[in-house]
Amino acid sequence: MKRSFPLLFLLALIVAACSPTSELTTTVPPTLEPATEEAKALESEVQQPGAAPTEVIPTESSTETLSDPTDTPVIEPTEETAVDPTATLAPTAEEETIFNGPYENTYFRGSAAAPVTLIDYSDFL
Amino acid sequence: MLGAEPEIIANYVDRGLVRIVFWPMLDHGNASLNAHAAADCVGRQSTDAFWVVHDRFFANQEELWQANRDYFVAAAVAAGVDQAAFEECFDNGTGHATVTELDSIRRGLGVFNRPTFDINGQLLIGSQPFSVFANFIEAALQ
Repeated sequence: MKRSFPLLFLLALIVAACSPTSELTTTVPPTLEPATEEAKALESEVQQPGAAPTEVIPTESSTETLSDPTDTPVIEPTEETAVDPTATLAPTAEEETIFNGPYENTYFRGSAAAPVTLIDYSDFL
Repeated sequence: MLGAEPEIIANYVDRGLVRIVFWPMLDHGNASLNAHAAADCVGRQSTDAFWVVHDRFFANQEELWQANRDYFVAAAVAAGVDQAAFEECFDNGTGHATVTELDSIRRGLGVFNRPTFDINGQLLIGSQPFSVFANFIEAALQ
């Protein structure tokens, strides 16, 4: 048995040399190279600090997220902007005080403290 | 109101019971505008002079239809105010702007009949004899 061991070992080497699995150890897997190139490509796309920002081109799917122009929200008038057009027809409280107010830019005869004020709305002509 | 005004002044204004406020109505275009502007420019220098031209213009209404700048300057000088100051006021439109604003205010108040009198809030429309004014004034004094 001890004498047949070198023969068996030699036979095993021959068989191993003739086996197709030996190619796996001697050739580079073809799938590794494309993966490396893709990694390089991705590496070049990484934005470096300080570099100009990359323009973002909206894709079709992104434009679908924009709001429909017809969906413009209606601005409800606030209490301040709502104006009653008929409101100007009636004198306001402030205007009413003119009858007994300071009469700015008018001229009067008599005492300003007089209990009765007589306003004369007239035209010289 | 010129007819009843002397009596109102003698019976109420001079006694401190009534004050008479004059509010311009511009119902006759530029003739009204220029006359009231001239009176305002006089009044800016002297309230007493304002009442002088006020009474003059009412007493000579027919003259105002054809009145020009010289007419108003002469009236202002006759009332005793400074001519240059009057001319500046009249020419730069200060008086015109003032009376136009007052006229706009009275329109906003709904006063359209001429003349109209407001006696402590009670409206009296049209020229009236002194007795009517007296009744309104006495009622206001109660």
